[in-house]
Amino acid sequence: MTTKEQKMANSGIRVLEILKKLVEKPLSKDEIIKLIEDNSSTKNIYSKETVSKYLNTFKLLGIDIEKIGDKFYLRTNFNKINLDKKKLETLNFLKNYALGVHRKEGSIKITELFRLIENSFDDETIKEQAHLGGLRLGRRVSDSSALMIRTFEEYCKDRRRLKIKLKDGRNFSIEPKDIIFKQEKAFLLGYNLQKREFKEFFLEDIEEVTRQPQRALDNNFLNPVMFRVKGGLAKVYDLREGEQISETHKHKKVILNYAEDRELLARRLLRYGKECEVLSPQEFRQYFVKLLDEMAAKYD
Amino acid sequence: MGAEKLLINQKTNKTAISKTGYRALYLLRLLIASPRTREEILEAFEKDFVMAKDKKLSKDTVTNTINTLKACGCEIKRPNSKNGFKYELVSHPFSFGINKVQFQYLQELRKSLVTYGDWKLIDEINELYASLSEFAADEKMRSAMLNNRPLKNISSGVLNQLKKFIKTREIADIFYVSPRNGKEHIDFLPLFLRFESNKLYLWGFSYSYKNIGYLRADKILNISAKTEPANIGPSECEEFKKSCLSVRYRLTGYSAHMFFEGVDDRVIFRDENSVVVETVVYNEFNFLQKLMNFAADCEVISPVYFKNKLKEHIQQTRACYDD
Repeated sequence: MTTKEQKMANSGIRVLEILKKLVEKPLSKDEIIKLIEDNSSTKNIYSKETVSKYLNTFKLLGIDIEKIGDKFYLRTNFNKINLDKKKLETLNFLKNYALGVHRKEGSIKITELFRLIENSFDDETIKEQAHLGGLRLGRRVSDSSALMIRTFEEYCKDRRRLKIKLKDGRNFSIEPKDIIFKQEKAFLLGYNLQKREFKEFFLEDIEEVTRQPQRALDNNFLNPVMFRVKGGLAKVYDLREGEQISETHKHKKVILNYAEDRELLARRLLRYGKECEVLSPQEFRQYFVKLLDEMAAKYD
Repeated sequence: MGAEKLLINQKTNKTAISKTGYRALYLLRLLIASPRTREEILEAFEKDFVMAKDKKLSKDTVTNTINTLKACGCEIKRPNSKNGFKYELVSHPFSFGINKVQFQYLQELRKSLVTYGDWKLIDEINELYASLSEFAADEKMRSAMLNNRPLKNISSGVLNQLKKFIKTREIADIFYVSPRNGKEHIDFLPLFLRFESNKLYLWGFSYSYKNIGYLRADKILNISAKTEPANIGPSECEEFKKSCLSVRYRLTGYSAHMFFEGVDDRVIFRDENSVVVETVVYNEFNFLQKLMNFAADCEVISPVYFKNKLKEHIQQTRACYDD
């Protein structure tokens, strides 16, 4: 290969290398110049005009490059996807649902993700999407709820302990862990420091929050609930996340549950009726009995 | 901007693009569409309005451009007699994929949607994720998008059959692994599917047991049309349905907040703190379980028969703790 041909080939490689980098992240003209110079075996200096020439090459081929601020964003995906009407409707629902839950950090990521997917539609899918016009909307939370979700998201990121007062007057000292969503409702998942258990708090039930100076720990000690399943239930019982079998007898199994919110666990165990017995901790067993008494009292 | 304007710098009258870059990307697109012989590639180059002006195009140009693509990370199979002497693009590094953070968020979204208890939505989301899994950045994520999902123990074949039988209202012969009786054949008229406690259940009229019952969809081994001359008909099911109880109950607190109306529920009243529901009870045992799950948030309003039934059920459970 002659020097001229080599130079030409290198120019082709430079264009491809820029594209490869743009797939990973947006770049400014200065960053593109640095990328070319770092990869070059010569000590050539490249100008912004050269970069414009390369960007023109993309444009001429219909590769969509969008400039936002000083950065260039690649909007075309070389791999195409075909989604039928049903899947497009589901995608539109998912997008609206995701944006609707207003999770600040997540919303940003999810916007990029949906843009990626939409930029990968093949011609047929683009036509179908235009026809649908983003129907089948997901549910949305109110602006005040969105603000609350963002605030608690900050608390989880900050990882400082919280004192929480609920509207029903109960107080908790917790380490905030995550925001979880059930349907369109947001819950704070926290580690209850007094009871050494995870607990879910419906955000709208929280009246007051005080941040504490202490930081949250990475590994929390968990105090498990032990219960026995009997009869037919023992045969068909599927372990949940955070559960393990402690003992197995012929028609009985003893299960340890580490992770589930205690109030929700109690509801689930109630469902099993007399085929399930809570064994420990004593405090949870008493709580379970109290629940049964309250339920029975409604029919006295 | 017109293509000609992009091609020539109006101020300097010089080429405003990288010709080798253009050629490489043009070839990349050709090979993404389908494998091509060297001759086909050259012909395409010669027809393109940008490259047609270049009089030095030859088979060597094609080879050099293939080498440029390879140098940038494209995997291209050499032409041989098995592939019709075509260059075949196996992979390339110019596609963006779903990264780890986005993947985790998608999985989290799917998990939160499960709480609606809407099996159709879950099924649709699973189908969508299967299509999107092509975009996952690595094999591990791709596999998780496909397999780490709700309804994972139910084959798509069985699920499609169940949907078909519900639609056509045909009596089916269901080969089922019953938790209590082991493997058995059940004559069953599928009525609807319901997602409950993270499992999918097929509800319908069992001609074998003469009642409306439910089967765990993941325990169904096979479902086929009832081929024997049937001395049974859907009317028997209709008669049974007419005899089913309607139970009215009030929910408060957490249960009222999270209540999601099912196919056999009718909301009579709803305000900020409570909801009154009327449900057709096809299966008393299952319905008792459902009410127990609401704990102290639930109060049965009518009929008296069911109030007593629930009371008895609560007392039997409570008796386990009479130390």
